[in-house]
Amino acid sequence: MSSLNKTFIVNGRIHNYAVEDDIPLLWFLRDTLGLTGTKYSCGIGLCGSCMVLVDNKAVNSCQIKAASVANKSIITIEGLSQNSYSSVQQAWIDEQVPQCGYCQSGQIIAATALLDNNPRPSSKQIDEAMSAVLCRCGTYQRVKRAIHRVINSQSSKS
Amino acid sequence: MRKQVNQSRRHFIKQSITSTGGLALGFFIQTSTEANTSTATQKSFIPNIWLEIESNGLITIILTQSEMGQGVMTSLPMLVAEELDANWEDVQVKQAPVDPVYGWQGTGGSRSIRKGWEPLRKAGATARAMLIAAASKKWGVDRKHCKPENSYVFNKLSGIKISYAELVPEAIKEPLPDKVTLKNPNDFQLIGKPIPRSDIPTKVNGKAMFGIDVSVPNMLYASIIHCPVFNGKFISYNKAITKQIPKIKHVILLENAVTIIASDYWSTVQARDKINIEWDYGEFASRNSKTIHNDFIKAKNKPGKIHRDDGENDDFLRNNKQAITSVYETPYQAHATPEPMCCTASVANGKCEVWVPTQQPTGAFKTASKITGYADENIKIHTTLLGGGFGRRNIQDFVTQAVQLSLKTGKPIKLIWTREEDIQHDYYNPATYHQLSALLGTDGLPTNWYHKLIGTNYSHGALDLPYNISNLRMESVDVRTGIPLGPWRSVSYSYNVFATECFIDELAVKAKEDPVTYRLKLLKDVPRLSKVLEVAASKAKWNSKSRPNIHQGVAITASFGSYVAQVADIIIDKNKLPQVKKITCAVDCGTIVNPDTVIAQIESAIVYGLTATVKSCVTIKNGRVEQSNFHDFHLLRYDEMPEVEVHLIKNQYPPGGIGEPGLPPVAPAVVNAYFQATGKRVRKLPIT
Ligand code: FES
Ligand code: FES
Repeated sequence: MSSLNKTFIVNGRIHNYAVEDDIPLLWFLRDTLGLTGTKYSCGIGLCGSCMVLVDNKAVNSCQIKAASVANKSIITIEGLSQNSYSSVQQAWIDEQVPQCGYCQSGQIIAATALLDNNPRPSSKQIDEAMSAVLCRCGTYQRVKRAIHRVINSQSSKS
Repeated sequence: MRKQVNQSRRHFIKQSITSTGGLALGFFIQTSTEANTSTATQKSFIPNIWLEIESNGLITIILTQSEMGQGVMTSLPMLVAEELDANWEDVQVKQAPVDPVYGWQGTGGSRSIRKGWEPLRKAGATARAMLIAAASKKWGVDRKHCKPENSYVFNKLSGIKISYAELVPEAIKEPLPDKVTLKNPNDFQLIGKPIPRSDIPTKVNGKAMFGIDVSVPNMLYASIIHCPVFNGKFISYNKAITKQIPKIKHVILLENAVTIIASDYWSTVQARDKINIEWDYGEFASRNSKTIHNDFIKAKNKPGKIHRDDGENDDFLRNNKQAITSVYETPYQAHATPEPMCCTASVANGKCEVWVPTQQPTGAFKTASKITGYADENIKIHTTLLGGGFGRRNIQDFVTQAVQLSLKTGKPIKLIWTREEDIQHDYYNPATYHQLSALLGTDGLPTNWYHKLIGTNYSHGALDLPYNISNLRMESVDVRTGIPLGPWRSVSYSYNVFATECFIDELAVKAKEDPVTYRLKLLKDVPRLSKVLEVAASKAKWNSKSRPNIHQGVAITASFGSYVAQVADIIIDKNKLPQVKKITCAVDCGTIVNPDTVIAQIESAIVYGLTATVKSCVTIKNGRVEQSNFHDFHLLRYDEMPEVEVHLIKNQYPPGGIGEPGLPPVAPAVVNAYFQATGKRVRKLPIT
């Protein structure tokens, strides 16, 4: 197995690591970098708990190799906001979305990617983006409310 | 360390002093069915909840419950703070270390608030009384002139005030009050208000620590492969694996399982495909859902265990040609907690430390102590946050494995099950088969009701049928199929209420009555249930017929001390399947402690129940579970989520449970709506 020294830009910080070419980004983030906010739940790209932003797009980190995203900007739940909470995170608190909380990094990342790229998504677009993330605790209704809260506060600002 | 200075046996309170000279009061609440109520009756009972007030004003409540998303870390302290008249900002919660000395620590059965309601308020009221006593002495005024509020005592005569913090050094010298008066519910300041949950902020920024996130120095990672067929035996594996993947440090055999241990988790996952384990599947390999079903059919004619026998049933059962009969079936279900089973253990130098997301910390303690044989003081259990529990985390299998692995390797081990292992080696909510029959009187109402449950003896939801029927028998036949069983959310209500609430709907149809009116006629003695049914029906615009494509179904349940009615609005999609658009739910859970948490729990239980109604099931083929991940064990997704509207009934009864009661009515409400839409009766879940 080959290990090559690569540069990773995670949450704005630069790390140099020799990674095996087939380690998924998920386990690299969790076990090598200690960024455990990104969660494992299915490992086959069907639950979205492991979602991170790669160049501002939401991807399931269990489905891509760490080596393939070297030099790209990777943002995890820990890096969404420099100070307190991003507008999406704040909406999640305001709507009291999380229950057990396990899926919520994925929910928040998916919503962030959606809203950053499209501040006024249609409900079909919201459905599409958010259906990628499972929540066994059934927080979907609150996720929906939180997303609309962000949309409304942004449109009232602009 | 606390030193006990005083105890009141009658009220189960212990008084003590914290290490920094603060006031400490210990209480006992029954947190588990296995709880040591006996402990509480011994002459020296052991508190499992502590309230501490420090001289810096900090109020700490030490709990033994686990937080798994149900908000106990907020709602339980609210009970104390209410009676203490504390400033909510001063209150913090800590999880008690796991120690048998605290009695049995466990969370489940929607028990936390129900069992904590009295003792936790008494804890607050006791401390308040002691603070008032201290203030009254200090000022030389009668206690009735001392009014507690917001962590202060006010002197009503002079208008001056003194903080709880300042009173602590005096309050610790006060004797325990003989008697405390609890507040009139009309005076509640905190109870009944939506208080933001304290566990939420770290759950939105990635800092929340779940079991899977634990890291300890020099830790190794373990992956486990159980024999895919239940009860199979290990034969051999590819021993060269440690050479093929150098990061693999050990391969260790456990009972019915092989574990792969490496310096990182990913290597253990890769090794799973290369380890080529040979198993002896044994006889169980011939089992499948069909043979299990046949066992149920055979058991049908066996005499059952009778759980309820009202009135006269023998004649009806001997000769029931006039009877209406139906059979209902539910499948095995996997809990599918979002965080797969995991546990970290470190056994070294005669000490054993375990970090685990568990609903049964004391169970984990006992497991560790049994495996290691160490004395209690050398065992330490840390309960982490739980990525879902739903009953699965009552079982100690993953704790056993992690402790054994650490003992065998001498290294700290973090064991993480893959999702595939999690789905295929659960303790499943049981498959059930229900025979129902009834006879209608001339008024169309049932005079006889008979329910035989096959598959398990868990009878709740069937034996406590709320309807007024004079002749009623409920019996069950347990069938040991060899599939490991463990109840999930709402336990037997999940399957029994599906059968009873669909069957009562069938009777209403036979009697040509409206399903809501029909139920109400049979619920005259259960006003709380009638009330939620009326509220749900009216809020759902039952029978308004204003939306031609929408079809409605209704179901009710009284469980865990709470009363719930739900109306499902469905449409029929192009595949002739139900699409649930809305669930209107009315809930009477007695006094509402934290309304937003109650609503969240109901929403959650509805999604869990709906998933089992229209999405998931576990089937058996060749002795193994056919499903293995979310491609074939389907969960409800965002775009399938109906609108959920919850109406809370306000009253002053003691609080009922709330984690589970929202689940049982979902399936029958949807199935009953499906009948309204199509004229077809679904008798087997899921509807797919
Ligand atoms: S863990 Fe990556 S999608 Fe489920
Ligand atoms: S909050 Fe528990 S899985 Fe979503």
